[in-house]
Amino acid sequence: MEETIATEQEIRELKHRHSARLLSQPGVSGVGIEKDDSGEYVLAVHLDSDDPEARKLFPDEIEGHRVKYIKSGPFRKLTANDKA
Amino acid sequence: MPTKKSRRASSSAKRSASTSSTIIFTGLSDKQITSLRAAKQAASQQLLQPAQTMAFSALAASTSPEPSTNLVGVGIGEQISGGKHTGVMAVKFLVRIKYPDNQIPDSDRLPREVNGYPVDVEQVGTFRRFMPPASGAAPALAMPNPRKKIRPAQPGCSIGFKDPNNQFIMAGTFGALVSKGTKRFILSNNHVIADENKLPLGSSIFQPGFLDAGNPPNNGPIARLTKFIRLVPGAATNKVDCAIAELNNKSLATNSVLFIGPPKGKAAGQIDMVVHKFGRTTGFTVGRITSLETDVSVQYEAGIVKFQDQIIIVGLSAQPFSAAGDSGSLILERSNNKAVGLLFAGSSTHTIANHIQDVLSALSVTLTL
Repeated sequence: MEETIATEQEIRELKHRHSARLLSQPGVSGVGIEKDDSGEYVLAVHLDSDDPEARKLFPDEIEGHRVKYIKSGPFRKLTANDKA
Repeated sequence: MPTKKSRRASSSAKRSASTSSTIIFTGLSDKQITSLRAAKQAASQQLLQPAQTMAFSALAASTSPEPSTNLVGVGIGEQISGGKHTGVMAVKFLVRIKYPDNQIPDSDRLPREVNGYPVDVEQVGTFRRFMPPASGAAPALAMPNPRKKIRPAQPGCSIGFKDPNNQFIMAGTFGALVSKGTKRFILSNNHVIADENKLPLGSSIFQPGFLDAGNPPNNGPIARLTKFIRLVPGAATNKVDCAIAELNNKSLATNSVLFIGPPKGKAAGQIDMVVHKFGRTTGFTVGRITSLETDVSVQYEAGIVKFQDQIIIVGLSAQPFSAAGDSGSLILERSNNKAVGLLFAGSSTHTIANHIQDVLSALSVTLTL
């Protein structure tokens, strides 16, 4: 079966529809547009953990588009200080 | 931005039929490195001739696309396409002369891939022993220490504010020298020089930051906080984490980023663009942009702050691109030193930056070139 390739604009619109909802879920630190290994645009979701149980809470596809999950860890501001 | 319906034409994006798909520089596993090394070793043994006893002058005079004459090295390196670094790992063939494709007989043609890895051919001329440098020649450029007191201060060095309550000491990075009219400012993040909206305008900014200044502190004020873009925690979306501080005296700082040099203008980032930065903690690092439009949640003292459409960068060769203390660093395209982003957040594996144009527009300043 011929696989259809999403355009950058389609993935951008997909992101706009789902970003706020996904980002409000615990364990999600980022939602963006990336390219996969074959150069296709995909929706990329950054997760704080690579625990398979946590990953199971998220769908493999959204509106028929495959989602790429990336373990990033929580994002923090990057100053250095001597706070405990 | 134009939309694309087609797959990227670049050969680097093609999946190979063998076990190994294209390897991007970042996050190479031990297994991948071993397999890439094996591919390089195979090509080297098959194609690279043992050192020739021919005199250098005779070797230099003979030219032929035949690998026994033309191939002078086999290595592993980043694939370069159309003069741009791709971040993709390849087996490198180093040739004396890169011949046009139609001038190479089929029998002399180098393989297009080795064990499934892409091949990159680079013209290097003829290798020979380096002559000892003439006396008085400049020594190799040493990596500067960004945490010491530097005058004039340079982007890439440690800066920070003094906690009015003396509860903690901190440090971040001076990103760039910026201008408005005849005034000169240091550019960094709000959280580096305005303490997340809390520091009063006019407060002194020190170089190095007190975390790096020792006890008693060997540092001094170089600028005063002039303007910050307010960080809004909660449901609101932010675009930038940035602030400027006017130099107390124009001679106190230059625009030349440590180790890198002055920015050569600005550019919009692109996915797969290879970039570099110099920061207070990790110094000089090289990375690759993986996204230009990622919405992120970032942990601050004030709570979670959400940002829209940020740049994501991963380090090359599995090295982190940044760490705590690098906030404020200017991120530049590696091939031409055009500024693309202002580093402000990240994790142990990913770095997040504001688009530089968003930062300059929000503050109504320009890069000092």
